[in-house]
Amino acid sequence: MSTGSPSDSANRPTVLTGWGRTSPSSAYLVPVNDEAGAIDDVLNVKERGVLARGLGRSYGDSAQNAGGLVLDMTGFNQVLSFDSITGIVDVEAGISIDSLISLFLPQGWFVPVTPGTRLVTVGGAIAADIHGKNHHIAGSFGNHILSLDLLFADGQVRTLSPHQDPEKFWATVGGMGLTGVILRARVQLTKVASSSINVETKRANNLDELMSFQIDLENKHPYCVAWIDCLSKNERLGRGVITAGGFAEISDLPHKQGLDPLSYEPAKPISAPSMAPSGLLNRWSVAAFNEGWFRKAPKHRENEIQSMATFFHPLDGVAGWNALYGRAGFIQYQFVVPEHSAEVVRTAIEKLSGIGAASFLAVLKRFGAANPAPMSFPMPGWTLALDIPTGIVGLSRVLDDLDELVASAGGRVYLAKDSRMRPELLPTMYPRIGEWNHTRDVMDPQHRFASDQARRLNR
Amino acid sequence: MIDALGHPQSVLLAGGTSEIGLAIVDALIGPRTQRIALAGRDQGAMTSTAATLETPGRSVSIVHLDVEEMGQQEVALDAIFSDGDIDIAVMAIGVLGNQSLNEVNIDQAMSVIRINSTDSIELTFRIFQRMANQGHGTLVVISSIAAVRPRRANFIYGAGKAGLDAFTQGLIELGNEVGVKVILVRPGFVRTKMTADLEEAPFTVNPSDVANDTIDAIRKGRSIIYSPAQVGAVALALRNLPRPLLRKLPR
Repeated sequence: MSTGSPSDSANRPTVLTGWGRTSPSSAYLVPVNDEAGAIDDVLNVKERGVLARGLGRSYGDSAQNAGGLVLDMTGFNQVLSFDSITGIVDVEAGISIDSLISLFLPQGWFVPVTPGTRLVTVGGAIAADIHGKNHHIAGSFGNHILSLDLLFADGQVRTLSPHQDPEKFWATVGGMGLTGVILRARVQLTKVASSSINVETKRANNLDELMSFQIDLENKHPYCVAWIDCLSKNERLGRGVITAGGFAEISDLPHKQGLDPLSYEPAKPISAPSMAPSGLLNRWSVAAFNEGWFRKAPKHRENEIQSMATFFHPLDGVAGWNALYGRAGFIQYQFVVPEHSAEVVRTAIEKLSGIGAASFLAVLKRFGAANPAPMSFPMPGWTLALDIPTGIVGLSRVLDDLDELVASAGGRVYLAKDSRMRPELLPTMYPRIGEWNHTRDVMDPQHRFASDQARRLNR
Repeated sequence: MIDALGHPQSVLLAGGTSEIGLAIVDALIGPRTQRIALAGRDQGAMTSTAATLETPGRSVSIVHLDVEEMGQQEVALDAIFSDGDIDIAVMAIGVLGNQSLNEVNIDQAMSVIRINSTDSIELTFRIFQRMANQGHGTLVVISSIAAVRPRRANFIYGAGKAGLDAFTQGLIELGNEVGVKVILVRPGFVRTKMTADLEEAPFTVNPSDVANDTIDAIRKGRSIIYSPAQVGAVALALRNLPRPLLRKLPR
């Protein structure tokens, strides 16, 4: 069976955006149900190219392809095999991390890396080389991919791995879909004893404290992240709450829970109102939220048992939360700077709070080692991620200034979140882009794989 | 591509010497703008404007465009779009005409109506279609308060703009389906060469004010704006004013 050919849908483009709901563009969205259909679509592509799209959780324009073809991979989502001894699973790339967790957590296996939402596909997780709270010990998603099957621009499907065609494998990890269509992946899952997390929480009154507590806690726990209040100023600047932990051992659990340690039932999310008035999240409401959140947190608490979902995916509790930012959408800004440039984090918070850019969700984390992928985002150092509504006066200028600062400190911004950076800075932030460009040109000489982000960044 | 904060990489101004159009282009462009295309009739004026817009990282091209010339619109647009996508196009072609002369010269009156209406609609439609094909774009169409409430002193001009205005209202809806953002701008009295001989009306603004309002609409995702906003209220009031009273108002 073939998927709908481009001509079937030629009269009906679909308007797509990223999760931030900025910069919409339209494309011919074609569902991929099988390999033959995907090959057909790639071979028949017209001048504006083709791109695979998963669950659309990248924030900016990286999963859009204006005027071209977009392959909806979410229906290509079967588990092909699972080895319960080794925890190695073969999946079609459209499967979500949510499904992987639902299927395998009850069997004692967890995804090696999870972002702040379960609603991303494996293909998207590889293409963006996503990271999670365990980056300091586990690295990013690409580190746990044993091999993948990639549909190339010439219509051939080839298996790539760190040992087989490593250059092409690592160009695909973090390649933002521009090397081909990831069809299948072999993922190494992580063994866990329960579906609960044994959590340690620590509150910090300023940025220095937050950073030093974080270093302490990440040495003790496999998962660690800090929520940061970006609206506090002066001596309280950078105050926040660190949560760290690891999967609980059965002995950590209360007796009743210990009887069924791996039970996992994802809660049905409540929905955010779809027509939320814009500006519901403003500096005052966010300041009030931040104050409450900070005060609610204990100064220090250990051995609290939380569910996996509460610990990893608090946002998945509210479906469509991105609508709370209103029709103009929002920007997610995430950068990393090397350890010795930690002061950039302080400057960023100062500059953003200076223009009243209230971030509801600011997260600080220290990355561990980078992987071999030339376009992978994580590198050792501090990463700060924040949500900012688009309407703030002076935002563009401040973010441009921050980009410069980050780039000159040897850092970079995260392409899966970017929706606005200047193309000139890309080679400074990703100094190995020349190497990647070369591999891409070998893999896809005509640049059939294209995205709005790639066009915007002159890639 | 336009970025999340509304900054374009490429801009087209149709009506390359329009003061309102140039003010909008001026307000739109920034460090991300790599390409500007000016399309219009006055080669000389556009050439000197181009020199002021060019920077090391930005090229400005000049394209001959006369909306009245049969078949010429596509030729001009081919030249413009062959260099790549256009992120934001400003449709600023229009003529005011001399109302009192035109009242006694139907040929001239019809020329004003055609340029402001069918010729402008055609160009707007053609730009729109190209943006729909590229799957993205923002198309700013300059209408007028006179399109909403034509008055004794400007109804020939207003009749033409009313056609363009009605068409653009529909295009906004179509644009939502195909990923093209259409913005209809209805200025009140704007101080330009075109209006230099006329007596200023209440709420008169400068081209830069219209430009700022337009940028604001682009960033906030509005599709129909008056500039200044007060003339929207005036238009509404005038629409509902009984005709005998309307006649008593100053022209």
